[in-house]
Amino acid sequence: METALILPLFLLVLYGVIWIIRAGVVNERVQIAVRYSGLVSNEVSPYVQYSMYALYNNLEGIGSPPTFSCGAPTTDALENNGQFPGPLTSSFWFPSGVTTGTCTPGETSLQPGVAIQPEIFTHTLSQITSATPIQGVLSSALGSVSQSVSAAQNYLDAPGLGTVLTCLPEVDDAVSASLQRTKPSLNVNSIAPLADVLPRSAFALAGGC
Amino acid sequence: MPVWAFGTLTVLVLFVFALSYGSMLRWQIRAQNAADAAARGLLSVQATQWNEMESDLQAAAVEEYRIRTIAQSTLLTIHGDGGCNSLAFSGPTSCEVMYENLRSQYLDAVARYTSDITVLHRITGPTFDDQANAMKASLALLQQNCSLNNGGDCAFDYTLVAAQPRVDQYMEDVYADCCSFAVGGGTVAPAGLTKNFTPMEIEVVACANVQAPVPSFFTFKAPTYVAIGRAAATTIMATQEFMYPGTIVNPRTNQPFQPVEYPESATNAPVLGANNDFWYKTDFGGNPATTDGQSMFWYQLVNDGLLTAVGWWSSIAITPFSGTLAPGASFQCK
Repeated sequence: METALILPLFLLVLYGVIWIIRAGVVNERVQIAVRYSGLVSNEVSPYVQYSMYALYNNLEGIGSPPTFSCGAPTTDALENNGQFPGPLTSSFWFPSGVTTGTCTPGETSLQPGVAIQPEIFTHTLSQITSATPIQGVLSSALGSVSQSVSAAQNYLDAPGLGTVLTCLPEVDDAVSASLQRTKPSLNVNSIAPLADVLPRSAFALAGGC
Repeated sequence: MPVWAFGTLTVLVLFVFALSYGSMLRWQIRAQNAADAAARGLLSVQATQWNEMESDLQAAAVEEYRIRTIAQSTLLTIHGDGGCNSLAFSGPTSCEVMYENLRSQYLDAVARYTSDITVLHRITGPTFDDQANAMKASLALLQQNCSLNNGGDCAFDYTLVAAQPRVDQYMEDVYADCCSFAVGGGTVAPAGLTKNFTPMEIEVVACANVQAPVPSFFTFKAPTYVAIGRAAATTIMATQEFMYPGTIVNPRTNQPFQPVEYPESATNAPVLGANNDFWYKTDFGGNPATTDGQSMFWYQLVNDGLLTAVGWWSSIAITPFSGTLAPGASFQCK
């Protein structure tokens, strides 16, 4: 009699253990997916971001505002679809729900006050959501219960030259004028010597940076 | 009955353990992500300063080359040499007209060069110590701005535990002189080099006190645990390159990066016939290079030219280097 009473409860808890182990692994792997996105996938293409090519093609009047791309967290950190390095995982550990990875890149800045010059960054917000619905015996006992799993991290990085020139118009003006040989705005009739004491003033940030 | 009850309780305990263990793993990786994101991001302060400096130095180098060639050309027109017509007082080939054009271009070039140097002075204003202080302040802002584009993970307290020069052999040569150039290859920073020009390495800790997912179980109370992420990063050259900008074609424009200029002309076109302003034009030039197909480049030094050798900077993650840290003393936890 007591077996008939307790066995269902015992099995329910036992299946709960199995489910929580799966959910725990999925929880860990969404963090891994975000990590892979932020530290590996979103590594900028060095030649496009940091090069003479990037410098000359982002000068004033030539470059369009820098566009940013990023690699969204791959669902392969949770499943096997060939994008993620490392050993294959057993299907037991797959999330049962839909997994969605997104990334939002852009340029940003910080002005902590103690810095002489504004600090500019590229940032990438990597996010992933998944779910581990309760299945099998548990679902028939508890109904449609699902644990939503998510992870997000905002990664900052050194900006490419396009962003530097866009965000700091005074640097862009000086560099572009020399590399493009544009005529100074004022008509120059004599050579003014460099001042004995040059300014150390902060650059103004462009809007949107 | 006692056997079933004990068995069920045991499995329940296992359930709580599994839940706690999964939670701890997740928080540790999250803490590591937060620390890595902050450490690499903060070094943008130094990497960006140096990239701005390299950009401006390239502009100044182009301008200096231009000033030198214009001064040379001006001298020729004064002496009536180089092909200009010293007898004519008007017309594009007149030495006098060329002189006027060259003078105007010279003044413009010097004005731009002055601007380059003024901007360079502002770029290089922040010292190594200024940047380290700025990073500390930025880390506080990163925490304060959490959940924004310029913020970190709201769950953690961030601490900058170290910011120091990186003194090792992982430097890259990027230089050129009259007769040779070097790009790449490990080198050691010269002794006595100011730390303002030494790559920085920093270490950041992200820490949070985390409540257990099941705070109490019957009479047992689970203590909070600490999720700690330690991350270090350093400034490093992302790319190194060398090029004659007067020869190498920009694939976007199909023109050399720094095309030939004709400062002796009012229209920036040769006045002595196509390609015949040899003594007056500003040709950023270059020399024909051949390669052995492996790692060597050979230049025949037959032309003038502006050779650029430059490295561009970014940051990479490295192994934490600060040794043992004490919670509370070395870093704070949220």
